Amino acid sequence: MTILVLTLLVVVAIAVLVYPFWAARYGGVLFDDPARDLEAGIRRARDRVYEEIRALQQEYFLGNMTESEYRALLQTARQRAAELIREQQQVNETAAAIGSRVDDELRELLPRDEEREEKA
Amino acid sequence: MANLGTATILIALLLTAYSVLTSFVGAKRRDAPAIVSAQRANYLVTLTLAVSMGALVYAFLENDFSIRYVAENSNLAMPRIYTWVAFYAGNAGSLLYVAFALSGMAALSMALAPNRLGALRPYANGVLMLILLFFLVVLFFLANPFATLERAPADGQGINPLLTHPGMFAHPPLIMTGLVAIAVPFSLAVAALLRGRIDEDWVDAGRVWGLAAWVLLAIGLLLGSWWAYTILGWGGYWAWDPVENAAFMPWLALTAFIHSIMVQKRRGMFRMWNIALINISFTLGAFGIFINRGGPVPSVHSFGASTLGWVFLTFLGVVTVASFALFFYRMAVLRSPSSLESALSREAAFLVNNLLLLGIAFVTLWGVVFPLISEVVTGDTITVGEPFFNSVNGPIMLALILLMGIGPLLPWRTATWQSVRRALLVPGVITLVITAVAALLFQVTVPVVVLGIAVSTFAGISILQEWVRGTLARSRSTGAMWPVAFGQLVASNRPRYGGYIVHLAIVMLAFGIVGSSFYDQERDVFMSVGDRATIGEYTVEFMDVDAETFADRTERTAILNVTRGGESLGTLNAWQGVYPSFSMISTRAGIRSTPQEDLYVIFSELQPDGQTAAFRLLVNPMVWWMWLAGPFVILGTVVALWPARRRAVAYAIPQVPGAATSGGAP
Repeated sequence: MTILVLTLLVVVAIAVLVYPFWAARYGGVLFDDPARDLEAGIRRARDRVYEEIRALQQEYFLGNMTESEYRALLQTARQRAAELIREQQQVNETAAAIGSRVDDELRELLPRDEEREEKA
Repeated sequence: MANLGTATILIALLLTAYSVLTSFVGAKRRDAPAIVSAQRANYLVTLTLAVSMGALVYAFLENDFSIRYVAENSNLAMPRIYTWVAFYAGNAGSLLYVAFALSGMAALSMALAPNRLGALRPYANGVLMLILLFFLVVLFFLANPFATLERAPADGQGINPLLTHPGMFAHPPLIMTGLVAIAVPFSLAVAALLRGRIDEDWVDAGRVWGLAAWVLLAIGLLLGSWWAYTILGWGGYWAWDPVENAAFMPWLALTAFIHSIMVQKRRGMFRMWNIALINISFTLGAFGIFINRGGPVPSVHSFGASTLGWVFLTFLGVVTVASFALFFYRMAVLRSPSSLESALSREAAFLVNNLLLLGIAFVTLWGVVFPLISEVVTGDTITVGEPFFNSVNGPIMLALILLMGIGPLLPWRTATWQSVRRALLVPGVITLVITAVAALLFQVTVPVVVLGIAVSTFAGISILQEWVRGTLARSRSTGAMWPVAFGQLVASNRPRYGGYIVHLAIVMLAFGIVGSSFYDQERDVFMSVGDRATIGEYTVEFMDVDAETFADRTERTAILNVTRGGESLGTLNAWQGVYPSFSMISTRAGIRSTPQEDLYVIFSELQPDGQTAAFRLLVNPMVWWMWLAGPFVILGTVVALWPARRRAVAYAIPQVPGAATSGGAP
């Protein structure tokens, strides 16, 4: 019984541990991607500002702050949200510009490949 | 079973070592298959240790006394139901449990880790597996619960009688699981430090696992207090015992962490502070394991001598030095992007709360280590007693409860004195009225008690004010009935309102502690059958003694009739068990518990005539509230942890002239 359980355990363990190397089809999602990180960072900061606005509304709603305090803090938070949206737009535009430049360069290379194939 | 148990521990050890190696190498080389394989090794360790646990349980059920641990912690007379308790009654079994609990937490945390943890995951897995590796090495080489005896005895030594109590089914596992669960948020923080990018990636998962460890310790501590109250026979529930303190200190540090991490989540602040806090929590957790399993100080909670003190002390030293060395190495990238804007803000209140909690933790730590230091320095063990802890920690705790009332009324970022005054006015006035009425009604004259009542009432009223105002406002704006509006209010911000439920539980605890500490009554009496004794408004009549003999013990139950003001309140049974093999008399107090007070009777000694006995009678006011706090702690934590499925319903915010937003959450 003991031998059977241990053998089964060892066989299952080896199979489970080796399988990822054998399959080797795990993509890059586990690793740092600076563009993705930057975008995620901005998104998180924006979520935080929105959360802050929601909390401000709740505090005002509960009567924990005066109208003038609420107005001033809301204005600051809105400005910050606007800045973050602008930042995100810039990131998106830069990414788009890089993407189109890569496309252009690929287009330049592609005819040459076709020509080469025709010659062949 | 012994071979299966030992072999599975060895397999678990090898798998853990593999997981550590492939995690760090995989992370360094960005080798995805290695990282996935390491994570799967983590899951396999849990499976393997489950087989090991099963083997030990089976050995207990089969009374396999060829296994030393089974022979030392059970016998033929032990009721089968206590097999689970016997499992962790000694060092080796409890270490196997700790290893299993840690591997289960590690597997669960990695399986549930959100995708955005991404590159943090292999580092966190590696750190968790490294901690687990330590426990498995100790288990395999120094404390193997499957070690066998050359000749199996016909019967075992039996389980310690103090452990045969319902509280023991959950108290030790909860405390041990809580202590090792701190490893999960700790591993996430260390992973962020190792990776060199200390942003908000680890915060959500760190908060969830921090809360999980916190609630496990909280309930474990409460159950431990209940156990001590009912079984130890001294009428109290907390004695600042080293083993109690060992779980209390990391709980305090975690309490600071789960508050402070909210500031990072909401404002991106306190990055450095949160990493330091989780390091402190884990270090104190490791210290707790050293005190619990290393046995450096005597305690009512120590059930087996340990020779492993040096092993756990080394672990504690390595953890402390390594975690703080990494912290200081990464100091430059730990700075938060934003800073405290005003001393009059919720962030500042959180910071003060953190400092007070750490203050209590370090005072307690000093009280625990002082006997060890005095022994090393002077050769004499000088213990620090309850008066030290009460006189130093008591005022800090009162300040903490006061802050618990003020903090939630402060907005984030900044507030003005005018708004603070307005927010505090109603709870302040109600508190003054209630305190004055209570002081007059119950003739409370002790200043500390008056202060305790005032501070606890203020904290409770602040919470109720928040709930009432929020519910009324929501009911007005949505037209929902009050109970529905209250439910919507709680759902709109679960961490906040779940936290308030826990705060209410702390207020209950505070009332229980103040009431039972300053207004308890105690009387020792000798009574023969038919005699009566009075304490407070109660009269206790000793009616009879029932005796029953079992293989390992003789049970005696004193039957007492209780009356108050001539009115019969029924009978009360005070129990004692005589265990000849342990040379021990174990007691179970007879307790009549009401919200107002407990009548508590200990059957301490029966004279040879079998008709006369010594009793200790106590009246402990408001202890009932302390036990009621437990369910509230669980409920509040569940509410706080409950995942939000969608963004909460927006408020119908009144139009603010000049403000661009007219309402509705974005």
